[in-house]
Amino acid sequence: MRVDDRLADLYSVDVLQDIWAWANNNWDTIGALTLQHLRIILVANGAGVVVGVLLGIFISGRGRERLADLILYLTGMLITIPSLAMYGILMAILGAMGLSRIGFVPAVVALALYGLLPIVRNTYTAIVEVSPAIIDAGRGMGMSERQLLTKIKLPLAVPVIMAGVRQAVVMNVGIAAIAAWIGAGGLGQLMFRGIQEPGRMGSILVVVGSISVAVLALASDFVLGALEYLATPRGLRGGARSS
Amino acid sequence: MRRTLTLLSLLAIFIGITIWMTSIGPIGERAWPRTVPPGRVLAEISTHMQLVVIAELVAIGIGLPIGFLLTRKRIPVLTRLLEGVVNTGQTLPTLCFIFLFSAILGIGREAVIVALAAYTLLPIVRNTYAGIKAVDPAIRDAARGMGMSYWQIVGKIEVPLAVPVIMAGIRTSTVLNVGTAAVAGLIGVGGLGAIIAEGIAIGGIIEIVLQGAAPTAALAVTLDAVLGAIERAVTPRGIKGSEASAVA
Amino acid sequence: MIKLDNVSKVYAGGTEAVKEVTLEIPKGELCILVGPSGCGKTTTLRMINRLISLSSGKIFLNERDINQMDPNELRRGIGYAIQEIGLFPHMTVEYNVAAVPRLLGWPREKWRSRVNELLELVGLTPPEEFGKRYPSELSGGQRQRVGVARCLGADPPVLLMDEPFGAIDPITRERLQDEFLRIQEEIQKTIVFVTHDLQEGLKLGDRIALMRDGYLIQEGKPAELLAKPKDDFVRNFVGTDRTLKALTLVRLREVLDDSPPTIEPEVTVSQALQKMEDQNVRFLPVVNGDGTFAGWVNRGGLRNLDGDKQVGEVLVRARKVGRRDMPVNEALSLMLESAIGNLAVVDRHDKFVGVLTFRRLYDIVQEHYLEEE
Repeated sequence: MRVDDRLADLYSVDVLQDIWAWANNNWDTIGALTLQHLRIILVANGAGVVVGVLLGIFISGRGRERLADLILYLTGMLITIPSLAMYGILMAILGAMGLSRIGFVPAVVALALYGLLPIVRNTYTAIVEVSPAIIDAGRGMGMSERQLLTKIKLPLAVPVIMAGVRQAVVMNVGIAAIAAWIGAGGLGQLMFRGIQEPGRMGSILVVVGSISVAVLALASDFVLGALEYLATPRGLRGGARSS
Repeated sequence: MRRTLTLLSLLAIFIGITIWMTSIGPIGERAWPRTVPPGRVLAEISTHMQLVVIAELVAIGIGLPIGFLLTRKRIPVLTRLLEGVVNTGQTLPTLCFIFLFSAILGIGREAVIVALAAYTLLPIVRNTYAGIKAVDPAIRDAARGMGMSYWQIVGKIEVPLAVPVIMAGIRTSTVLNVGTAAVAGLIGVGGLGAIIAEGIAIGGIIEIVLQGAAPTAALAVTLDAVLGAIERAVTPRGIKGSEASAVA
Repeated sequence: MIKLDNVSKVYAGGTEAVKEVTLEIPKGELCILVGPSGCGKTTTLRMINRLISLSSGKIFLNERDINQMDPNELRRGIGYAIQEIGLFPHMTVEYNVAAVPRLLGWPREKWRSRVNELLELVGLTPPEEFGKRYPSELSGGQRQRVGVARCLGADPPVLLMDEPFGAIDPITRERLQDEFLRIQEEIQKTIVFVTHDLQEGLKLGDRIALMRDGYLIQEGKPAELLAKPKDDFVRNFVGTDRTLKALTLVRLREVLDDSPPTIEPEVTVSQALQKMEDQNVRFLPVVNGDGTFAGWVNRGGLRNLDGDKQVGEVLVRARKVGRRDMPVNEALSLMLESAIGNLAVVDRHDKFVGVLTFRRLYDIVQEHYLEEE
């Protein structure tokens, strides 16, 4: 099909009607795929948050600056690896470890790794950048290192950590779509099916899939943004962070 | 220093894997070859680069003037709109861009390039705008006070100070695009993604997957390093150390 | 109460921040550590609550070697306030002030009432309202008050304060200093107070320790420091106007002439002239029957007048009078402003209590507030 024809086809009213009609008849499919999509992200980012926050706290400790540099650099490197390459490399590694090379597992591992950087980096930065005056005041009044961490540093870091989680999740909504290619399911399936299918049906699937992913990304951004706001102590809202 | 070392060693590992993977031949009785020929890998690297570079150039060509023009007149509605569009655009997955443009324009390199360029355009416009806007009014005032003409201020003050921010945007988007362009391989447009796709499609032949994956990763890491070096090089020495890349 | 015995601090890089400082601060006294930046005053302060470890020497708190104490317990027993305040931004004022009591495990009602008491003390009233606010909702001066209240949280006998009023605008600072003096009068804590502002030190301190390059150069009462600077550094630090500074430490009541000759307003001009002749003075304060001050008469002015007039009709009313508790520098300023050059002094009920003349001021300064050359 020539480009012009395809354009004309897509912009004609009836294709839009077709898309709508298809979506209307397939809400259950879309819903199921969305849930599948979310499940991958939830498991991956759930693990990512636990590992990332603990790692971030660990490397923020005194005398671990070099380790922190290294960890941040490595997680930064991970995130520059293209998702498709990541899936490929994980297939090799997981295969060598005797785990399943396709489907849910590599998808979750990849997304967890991608999510690591924003979470580790934000946890680390937020803890390290708590104003020295506040730490000094806390220590001066006799807080132990553990109390400083749990009563001062972590509460102050929560909003920043949440911002990292938000960033990780939103990014992963898109990357999870690619995971359909390695059989992990999710909304990406619609897109890949559609792109392989010729004609109008293919366009419909691509458009519905893409829009669903886009909406999911925007929605998770919004929801996590709201959570981020709620996780921010009132005294910190409005940008007044220092003392 | 340590960073450079880490980078170099990782690069070496990637390149080593790639060379090893491409050099071992097909093994015995297998129905499928275990590797694709090295020439194929090089060809796909070149295709991949083309997709990324052309898209980037298009985005820069359009984005820089728009970003610059936006700084000339104070149009609050427009800048707020820009912020909104950029933020929403960045939230949307790149994949959606590629698939939607492929659905509209038909599967092909044009669609991929347009999708990548569209996605990249936003941060470039934003960073150009932000970079120039971030120039301290006092500096501009001082320049005017010492008798610099309008274009001298643009050329000698605003652009040099904004370039690092713009470069940071270019760097981030390029690295991102290397990854996104790989998706193009999945839908049959070529590039390194095609090799990965093949490896997965014919039953998960790891060697083939790695032949595509390792160069893709290496390409991303290398471009990140190279553009990072350029970014540092174009950063006037006086403002080094200040967070030029923060806006990226 | 606090005893520093030959205390030194050498940092890892070899920098000697504090060198062999020996200092004793008795209970209830406010000791100022003052000196140019980098003189080691903050390091000294922070060694007392072990935020910085000692390299050598010993510090005793109530006869107990602080190195034998658990650092966190030590710190919970010492109030600590710093210039940056370091309020916890995610906690309300109430929780900030209650921080140490809560660390000590006080029951809720107890720390609640303590918080109210303290907010009341530092003038953040009503405490119920201020307690619920966050630090970001306070002005700079209010935050500093919270900082002071917080360091008093668990009623520690000892306070360490590192330029607590340093980052505040001069007017608010002055007010906070005044209130701080009032609070200290009430609570009588043993306080070590770091500042680089000598004026602040003179105003607040019972005792001043001047440091330079890690050494304790001179230590003593504020007036001593001003009157007898030990060397050129101290002399320079206190400044060439040290005598004027010394006057800020003296109250008018300490120097005034409390039994000068006076006359009543009913006396006639010729009688007044006669009295001035007898006493050999050029001015006389006129004091009403009820003891209040009416004004001045001077010899030159009265000579040209009708001798039968009453003094009350011709006296010169003084626009400014001194108060008994006024620092002498302010009195001096009033004297310089007035045409008479003498200052009448009254007490809180406006009763005349005496006069201060230039001559007397000069003599007193010469006698008490100057070092022997």
